Amino acid sequence: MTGSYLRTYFLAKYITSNAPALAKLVTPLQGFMIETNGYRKMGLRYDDLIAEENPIVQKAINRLPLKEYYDRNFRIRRAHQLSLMHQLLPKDEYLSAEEDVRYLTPYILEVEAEMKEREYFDNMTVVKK
Amino acid sequence: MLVSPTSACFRRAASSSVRTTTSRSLATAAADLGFETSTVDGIKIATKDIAGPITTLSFVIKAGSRYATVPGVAHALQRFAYQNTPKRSGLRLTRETELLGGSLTSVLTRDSIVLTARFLKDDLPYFFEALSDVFAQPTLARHELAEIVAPLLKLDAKLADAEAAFVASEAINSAAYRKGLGLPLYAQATDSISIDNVRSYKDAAYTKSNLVIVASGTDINTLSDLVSTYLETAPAGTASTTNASTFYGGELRIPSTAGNLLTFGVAAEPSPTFNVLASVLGGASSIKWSYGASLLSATAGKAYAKVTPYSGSSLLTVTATGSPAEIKSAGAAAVDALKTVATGVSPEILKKGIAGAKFDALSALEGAAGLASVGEILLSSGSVPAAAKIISEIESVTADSVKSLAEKILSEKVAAAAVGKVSELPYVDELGLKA
Repeated sequence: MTGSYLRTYFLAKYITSNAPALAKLVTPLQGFMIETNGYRKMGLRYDDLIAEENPIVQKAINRLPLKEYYDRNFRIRRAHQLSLMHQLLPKDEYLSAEEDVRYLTPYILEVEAEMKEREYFDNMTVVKK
Repeated sequence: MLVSPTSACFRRAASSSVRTTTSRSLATAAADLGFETSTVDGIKIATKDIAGPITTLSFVIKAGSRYATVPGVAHALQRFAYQNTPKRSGLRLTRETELLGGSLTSVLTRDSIVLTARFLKDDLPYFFEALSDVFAQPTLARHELAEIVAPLLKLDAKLADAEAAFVASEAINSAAYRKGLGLPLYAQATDSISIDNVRSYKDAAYTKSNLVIVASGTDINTLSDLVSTYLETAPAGTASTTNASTFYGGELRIPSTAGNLLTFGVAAEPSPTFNVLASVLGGASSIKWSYGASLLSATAGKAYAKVTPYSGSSLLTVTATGSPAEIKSAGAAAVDALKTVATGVSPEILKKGIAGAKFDALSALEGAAGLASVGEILLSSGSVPAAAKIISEIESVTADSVKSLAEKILSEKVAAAAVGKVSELPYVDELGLKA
């Protein structure tokens, strides 16, 4: 469900740490992608775009610290308003690269790991040594 | 085979059996509860190497509700037992325990949090490691508090509220001690506990100086080795302390649909006189189809006396149950029984009371629940209770001291709690006591 985003996340991690040559090639592409996608111009973070209509992300969102949760809602509402008015934020309020923090991804990974573990224990076969 | 009582053979057998019993009972009395003790890495450990396939291992931690820095935090920490640690998730611990066969329990008392594991003897290393992990480095994640622990706290409080005896014991503790031992055992709906509260309470309480380990079914050397392997790096900390318990007294009346109950009593420093007076008053049946022959047996099981021991203080209570009318008469009968004791105790009654008190005090130290009690005593006094000492203390109680304790209850202020239909339940001053 959350697969596609997390797959990209892991792929990017893999490339940056294991394939420096490839990383050199795709890093400029990343900048271009973000620029054309334009979410930062609406004040959103990348993690705000993750589809939340599934149990894993719902649980992850519930685990956010209250301040993060509130800020996320604020950003999304502001982006909705901008979308409605066919506008972008003033240039100086665009989100900078440093502000684009992956604040939700760690929680999603944690919840996914828990669900995976539960699935493993629910389907395990006991082997006698 | 029937043997005529007059036959020499029977007399010999009888007298020798009497002799053996006497000498054996003295031997048991002189010998102790069978615990071997040691101190490893600053942790007191005690174990009873009984034969059998099952081992019981208890971590007794001085972190009960009387030490709570924030109301209800001790309850939250108790419910955090067996949740995630960096080494294994709570789910993994539960499932692995199921696979090995065993049970994990955590109990909160006013004095301590007790983590107990019962398992097959061979699995001792696994369960020791698991318990030390749960003790030394619980994750205490914020989401665990919200998702798992907080609902359990609510459940515990709700279940407890449905039990009149529990509601009454909370109320009488509150009336008797106010602070410390008077604090509620469980987190209340009014308490707001944050994860930071739980973490700082854990840091202060879950330290080596607040921990004793008691076990049965394993020997002291195995246990010492395990302690030095798995608990060497646990924080040493300082032992938790509380103010000495003061007895206040007063009456609390709690409306409840859980049942009707009236309880009154006094608290003071632990004294064997309390145990003997409770045993003389009696009331609780020790045999089927009979209410016994104690003073409160006249109430047909509607009233009974009981001593609740805490570290530094004991609470002697007389409790009446039933319908409001039954409680009225049972309460009056209990006060009459106290008046009887206050006029003097006959040697036979005293003897019976002492025997009963000895049995109650020692049987409370047996079994899995007794193991935790032994741990609590080891934690507060620094040594395992000595059966011989308990026996000699109880045997040294005199008729006069029992009489003057009864006089004290009748003349001085008591703590009391009425639970149920409070409009119909008697006030303790109507029964002739002061509150």
